[in-house]
Amino acid sequence: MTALRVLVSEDACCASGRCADTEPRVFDQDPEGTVVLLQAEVDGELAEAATLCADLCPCGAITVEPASS
Amino acid sequence: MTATLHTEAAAPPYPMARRCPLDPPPGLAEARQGPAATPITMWEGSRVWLVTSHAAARAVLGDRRFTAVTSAEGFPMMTRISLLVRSQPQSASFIRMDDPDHSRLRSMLTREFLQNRVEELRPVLRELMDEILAPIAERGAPADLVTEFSQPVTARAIAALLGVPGEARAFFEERSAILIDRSYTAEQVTQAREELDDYLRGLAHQRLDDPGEDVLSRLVGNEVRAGNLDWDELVPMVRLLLVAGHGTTASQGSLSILSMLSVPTIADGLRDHPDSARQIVDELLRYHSIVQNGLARAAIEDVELDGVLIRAGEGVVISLSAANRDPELFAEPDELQPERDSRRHLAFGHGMHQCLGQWLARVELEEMLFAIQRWLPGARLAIAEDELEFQPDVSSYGLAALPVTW
Repeated sequence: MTALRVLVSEDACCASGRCADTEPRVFDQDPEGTVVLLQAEVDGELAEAATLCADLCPCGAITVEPASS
Repeated sequence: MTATLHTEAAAPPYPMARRCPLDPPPGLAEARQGPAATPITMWEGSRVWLVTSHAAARAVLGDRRFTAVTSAEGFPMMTRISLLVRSQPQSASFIRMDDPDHSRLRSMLTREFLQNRVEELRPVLRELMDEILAPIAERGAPADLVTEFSQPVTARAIAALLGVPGEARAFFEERSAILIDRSYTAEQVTQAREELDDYLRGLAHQRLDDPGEDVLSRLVGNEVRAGNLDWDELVPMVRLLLVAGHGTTASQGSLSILSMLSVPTIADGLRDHPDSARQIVDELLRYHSIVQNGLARAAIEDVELDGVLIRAGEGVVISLSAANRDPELFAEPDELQPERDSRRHLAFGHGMHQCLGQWLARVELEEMLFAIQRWLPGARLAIAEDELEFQPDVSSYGLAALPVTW
């Protein structure tokens, strides 16, 4: 998979924790449960996982886009 | 644009009837082959839209142009309690609110239900289940795992979390069962709700002077005392947690145990690879989709949903069970496949109202399956599968009983 840039919105985040559960190498949660982005650029397996996390996020707080854009 | 809600001739009655007890009504699969939204007729005669595909369900649940407020124009009448909630909006909990009210209230609870917090409860849950199963294993077969295991386990778990004392358990179990059962009258439902609210108000006041290490005590101590939360907001909130955390998990638990008894690869998978429990639990959540009548919303603006115009003031029912059997997402969707990656299922909903208790539910469900394997490894159905009785009239579908022997 091509390299992706991952963007998170702390305002949109509703602390569901689906992202941190699915890919803890890219997403963590702070003590309030708000998303913490660990890697802004990912490729390969992590890019696939980040894309899944964007789908799973119930509040649309995660977006992924091609890193070259 | 093609059909509109009131001009389309066909608007089948909703809910629809099942043919097989473990599959959603066939009418849902038929609807899913048509437009993104199709008209249905609710129990009191009103027409609303039905959404059945996974994509459309996600779209509606994630779109703030749809309100969760029951008194909104056109909101679907899901049960008899819907009329009650309409007439008494102040008695609603945050599940029936939009932002900012919804987030203001829900965020007071988020920390209590974070995944890492819930993981800390795992040993407590395990112990609770051992306490319930040890005497049963000792006494010998048969047992009904609905009334003797799933229901008491989940009731004790949420009661412990909230600090509701053991002696009140039967009381709140009975009341919360009435709240979700369409076969009760509006008067019976109102009375059950009032009795539950009165009890919770009393308990919450006690916690002001005598706090414990529980969610209710922290809500009272941190939020009510600081003036962030009124008593009238606290009571529906705690009622919501009790009701949401009990019957749903119990139903899903019993159905999951049934699946474990019927599908040998599930039991083998759990035994040989306990790390696969989470994956198995998610597939069971997808397959059973116990919130069988779906979720309700109403449009507050016109929304175009894949070629269908939903007008402001029109209601929408989102079928989670139809979405969870959508072949676009899940190959051979009607098959229970323990090795499937089901993480995209919508059993917990989607959008800002996605189940707050989902991690607690997942941990409880895993531990329930492990506990049955631990204490009743030779368990099998005591009756033929086609003799099993289900509860078709409740919002949370489930077994009436799960008789096992060993």
